[in-house]
Amino acid sequence: MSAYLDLIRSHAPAVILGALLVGAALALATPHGRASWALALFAAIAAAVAALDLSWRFLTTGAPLAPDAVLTVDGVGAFVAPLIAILAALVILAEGAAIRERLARAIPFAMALHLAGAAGWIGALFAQDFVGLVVGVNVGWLALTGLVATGPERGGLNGALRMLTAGGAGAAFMLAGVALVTYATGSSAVDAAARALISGPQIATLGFVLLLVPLMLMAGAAPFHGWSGAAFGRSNETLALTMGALASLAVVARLAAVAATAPAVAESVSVVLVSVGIASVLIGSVQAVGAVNVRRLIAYAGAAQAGCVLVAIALESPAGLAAALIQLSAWGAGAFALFAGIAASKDAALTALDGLGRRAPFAGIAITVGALSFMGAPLTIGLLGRWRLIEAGVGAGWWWATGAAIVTSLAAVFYGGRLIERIYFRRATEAAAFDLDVWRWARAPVLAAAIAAIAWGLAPSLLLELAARASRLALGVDA
Amino acid sequence: MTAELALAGVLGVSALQALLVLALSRPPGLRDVVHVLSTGVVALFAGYLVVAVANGETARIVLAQPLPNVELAFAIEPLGTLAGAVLAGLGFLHAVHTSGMVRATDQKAPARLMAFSALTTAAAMAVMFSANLFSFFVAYQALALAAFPLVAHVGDDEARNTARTFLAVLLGASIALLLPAMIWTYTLAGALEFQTGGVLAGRVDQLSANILLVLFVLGIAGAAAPPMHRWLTVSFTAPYPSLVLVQGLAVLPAAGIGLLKVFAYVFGSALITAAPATQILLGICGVTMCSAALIALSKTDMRERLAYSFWAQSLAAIVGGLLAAPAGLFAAALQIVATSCAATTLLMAVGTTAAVTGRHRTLDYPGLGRVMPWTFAGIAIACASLIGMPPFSGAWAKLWLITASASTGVIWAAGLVGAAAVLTFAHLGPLAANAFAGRAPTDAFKRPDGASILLVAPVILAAAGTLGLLVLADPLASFLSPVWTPR
Amino acid sequence: MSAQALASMLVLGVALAMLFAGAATALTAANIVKRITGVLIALLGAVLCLAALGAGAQTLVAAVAIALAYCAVGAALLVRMQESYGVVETPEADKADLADEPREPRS
Repeated sequence: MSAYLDLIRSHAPAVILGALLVGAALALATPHGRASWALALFAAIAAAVAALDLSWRFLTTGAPLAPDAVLTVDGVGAFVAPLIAILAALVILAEGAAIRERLARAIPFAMALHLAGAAGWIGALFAQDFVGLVVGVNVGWLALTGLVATGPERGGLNGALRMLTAGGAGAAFMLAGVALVTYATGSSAVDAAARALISGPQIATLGFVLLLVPLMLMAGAAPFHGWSGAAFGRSNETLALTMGALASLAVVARLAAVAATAPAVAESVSVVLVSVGIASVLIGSVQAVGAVNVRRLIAYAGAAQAGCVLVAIALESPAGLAAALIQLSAWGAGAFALFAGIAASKDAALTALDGLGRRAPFAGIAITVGALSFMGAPLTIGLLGRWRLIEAGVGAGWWWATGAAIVTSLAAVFYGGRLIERIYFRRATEAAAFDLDVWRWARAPVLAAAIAAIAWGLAPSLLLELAARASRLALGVDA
Repeated sequence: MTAELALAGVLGVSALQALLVLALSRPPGLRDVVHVLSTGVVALFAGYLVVAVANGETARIVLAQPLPNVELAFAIEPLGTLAGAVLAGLGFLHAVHTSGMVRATDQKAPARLMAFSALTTAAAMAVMFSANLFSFFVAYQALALAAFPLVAHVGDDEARNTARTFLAVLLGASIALLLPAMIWTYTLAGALEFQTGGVLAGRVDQLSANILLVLFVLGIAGAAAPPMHRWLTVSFTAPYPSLVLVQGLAVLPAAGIGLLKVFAYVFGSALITAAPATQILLGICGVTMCSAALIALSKTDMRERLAYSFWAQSLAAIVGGLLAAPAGLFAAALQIVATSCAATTLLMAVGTTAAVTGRHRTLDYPGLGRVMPWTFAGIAIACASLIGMPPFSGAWAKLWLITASASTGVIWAAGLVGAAAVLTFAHLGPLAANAFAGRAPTDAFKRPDGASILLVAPVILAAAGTLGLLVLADPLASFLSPVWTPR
Repeated sequence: MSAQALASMLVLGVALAMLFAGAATALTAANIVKRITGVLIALLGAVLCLAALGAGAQTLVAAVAIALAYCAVGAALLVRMQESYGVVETPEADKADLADEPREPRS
C-alpha cells in the first residue's frame, strides 16, 4: 500500500491535474445538478490534498519527484498550486448554495468549467515548457470566460465577450512571445533562459515582455483591465475570477523568477513589471475609491493589490518574491472573505449592504475582516504582505515600493471604510434583495476558511518560512 | 495578585465589560452597575501596577509573534503605567457620569455607547502598556476603530461626516506615515522593542533620523500635531460621554503618551541627531499652540472652544517631548496627565450643564455658577489648571516646560508656552469668572430637580484630582526617572 | 541573404502585421463579429510567427488548438448574445446592461 502511495506522491503534479480533469469529465457527464456538484467537490478536495502534500514535501524536505517530460515543479508552483486548489474547492463549495439560481442543465457544465479552469492554471505553473504554460493559461482563461457567460444575468455575456477578445489578443501575443524566447534561447523549456547562452538578449527580452503583459491583463492589472469591470460587475463568478487573477500573477512570478536568473533579460523585465505595478496601484486605487457597484469596487481593488504584487515581483530578490507570495495568499483570503459576505446579497448595489450587520452578522463579519485585511490592518494577513513588501523595498532602496503599499492601503481605508460604515452604521432602507437562507452549510465553511486565513496573520511563521524557501528555490539561490 | 495578572486585568476587563454591557443592557440599572464596577476594577488593577513599578517589579504579556523579533506584547513601565493609572481613575468617574448623562439626556442606544466606551478604554490601556512599536501600532489602530462609533453615535449625516474625517485622519496617517516609519525602524534596528536610551541610538544617520521623526510625529495623528489635527477640531459634535473619551481620556492622551514613548524609547539620544527636524517641529507646534488658543477665543460653542483649548494643551506636551531632554519628557508627561484631568473635568461639567440647562454656548454661561455652584467650581478649577495657575497641576506642568526649554537653550519655546498660557487665560478665565459674577438666570433648569449626584460628584472628584500633582511632583519625578535612565 | 531567409522574414513581417491588426480590431471594434474575427486573425498571425521562427510541430499544433478553442467559444458567445440582446453591436449591449443595473447612491 505504501509503495502505491509513494508512487502517487512521486507523480504528484500529474495526479493533481488528473484529479481535476477526470473530475471535470465526470461532472460534465453527470446530468443531475447536485450529484455533479458533489463529484466536482470531491475531485477538487482530492486535488487540494495532493497539492498540499506536494507543497509540504517539496518545500520542507525537498523530496524528489519522478522525472516527467511535461511537468516540473519549482518554488512558485509548489507554493501557489495548493492555494489555487484550495480556492477552487472553496469556490465549488460555495457554488452549492447558488445551484438553484442556475439552469439545471448548466450546472454540470459550470462544475466542469471550474475544475478545468483550476487544472489549466495549475498546469501552467507545472508546465515544463513555454507551450504547456501558454496552453494551461488559456485553458484557465477560456474556462473562466465560459463561467462568466453562463451566469444568470445576461450582462455576463457582455463580460465574457470582453474577456474573450482581451484573452484572445493576449494569447496571440503570448504565442509570439514563445516564438521569440524559443528562438533566442534555442529551447522551449521554461528554465532554459537561465542556462542557455542567449544569442539575442533584446529578442529574449521582447519575448518575455510579450509573455508577461497578457498575463498581467488576465490578472486585472491596470491599465489592461478594461474587461474586469464588465466581467466582475455583471456576473456572479467573482470568486473564480479572483482565483484566475491570483493564478495569472503566480505565473508572472514564475516567469519573472526565470528572467531574474538571466542577467541579459532581468533588468528590462523588472522595469516593465514595476511600471505596470505602479500604474495598477494608482489607477486601481482611484477607481476603487470612486466605484459604486460592490463587485466592481472589489475588481478595482484587486487591480491595486495586483500592482503591489507586481512591484514585489519586480524586485527580483528572494525577499521580494517571498513578499509577492505572501501578498497572493493575503489577497486570496481577503477577497474570499469579502466576496463570501457580499454574495449573500443578490444586489450589487452598495445600498444592499445597509444594515447587513444586523440582518446577517456573519456576512458582516466576513466583509469587515476582508476589508480590514485589504487595508493591511494589524493582525491580519494583509498587514503581513504589506510589511514584507515595504521591508523588501526598503532593503533594496526602492522607495516607490513603499509608496505603492501605502497608496494601496490608504485607498483601502476609504473604500473598505465605506463598506463597514454601510454594514454597521446604516439601517436597511428597503427590503434589500438579500437571501437570508443563503447561509446554508455550503457557505459557512467558506466564510470560516476566509476568516481563519486572515487570522493566520497572528501566527504566520510557517507561511513566512514556506514563502522564503519557495522564493529561494525559484530563484536558484542556495536554500 | 501578581503584576502579570493585574496587567492582564487592565487590558482584558474593559474588553469583557463591553460584552457584558451589551448582554446585560436591560434593566438599565444593571447595565450601569456593570459599567461602573468594571471601570472601578480596571482602576484598581492600574493602581496596583503603579505600586508594582514603584517597587521595581516587571511584567510582560506576549499574545502573538507575527514576525521574527516582533511580538504583540504588553509590559509595565513608568510612563505608561502612570498615565494608565490616572486615566483609569478618571475613567471610573466618567463611567458614573455617563450613567447620569444617558438618563438625563435620554441618550439613544446607551448600551452601545457604553460598550464602545469600554472598548476605547481597553485600546487606550493597550497603548499605554505597549511593549514595542508594533504593539503600539496595533493598539493605536484599535483605538481609532473603537472610538469611531463614539463619534458617529448620533447617527445623522453630520455625525457620519465627522466620524469619517476622524477615522480618515487617524487611520490614514497611521498607514501612510507611522507604518513605514515603524518598518524603517525595524530595518535599521532589527527590532521594535521600547528600550531606555532609544532603540535607534547609535544606529541611525542624521538624515534618516530627521525623516523618521517627522514620520512619527505626523503619523501619530492622535497627538494632533499640525496638520494632522482636524479630527480633534471637528469631533466636538459628538455626544458628551464620547467627547470625554475622545478628547480627555483615551484618544488624545493615549496618542500623546505613545508619542512620548517614541521620543524616549525609540529615539532616545538619537533625538538630538534629528535636528533640524526637532527645531522645525518645535517651531510649528509652538506657534500653532498659540494660534489654537487664540482661535478658541472666537468660538462661542463651549465644546468647540474646549476642543481648540485642548489642542493647544496637547501641543505643549509635544513641545516638551521635542526638547530632547529628560526635563522636557517629564514636563510633557506631566502636561498630558494634567490636561487629561482638567479636560475630563471640564467636559463632564459642560455636559452636566448642557443636560440640566440645555445651554452650551459661552454667551449663556454668565450667572450659571450661582445656580450650579459645585459644577462650576469644577469648571473654575479645571480652567485654572489649563491656564497654568498654581496650585493646580497644570501650573507645575507649565513650570517644568518653561524650565526644560530654558535649560536646553530653546528660550523662544519657553516664550511660546508663556504666550499660550496667557491666551488660554483669555478664552477660559473670563468664562469661569463670569459664571459666578453674572446675574443668576431665573429659568436655568430644564428639569425641576436640577442635576443629579451622578452628574455632579464626578466633576468635583475629578477637579480634586487636579490638586493631586501639587503634592506628588517630587515622587513623580523619581517614579518617571527610569524612562531616561536605566535602573 | 538567402531566398529562404528572405521568405522567413517576409512571413514574419506578415505575421506580425496580422497579429497587431487583429489585436487592435479585437479590442476596439464595435461589432461582435469583427471582434471575434480580429481575435482569430491575431491568433493566425501568432501561428505564422511561430512557423517563421522555426517552432516545432508540437508547438504549432498547440497554437492551432488554442485558436480553434477561441473560435468555438467566440461563436457560441456570438449566438448567445444575439439571442439575449438582439444586437451584435457592443455599444448597444452596453446600453442595455446599464439600463438593467439598479441606480446607485452618490455617497
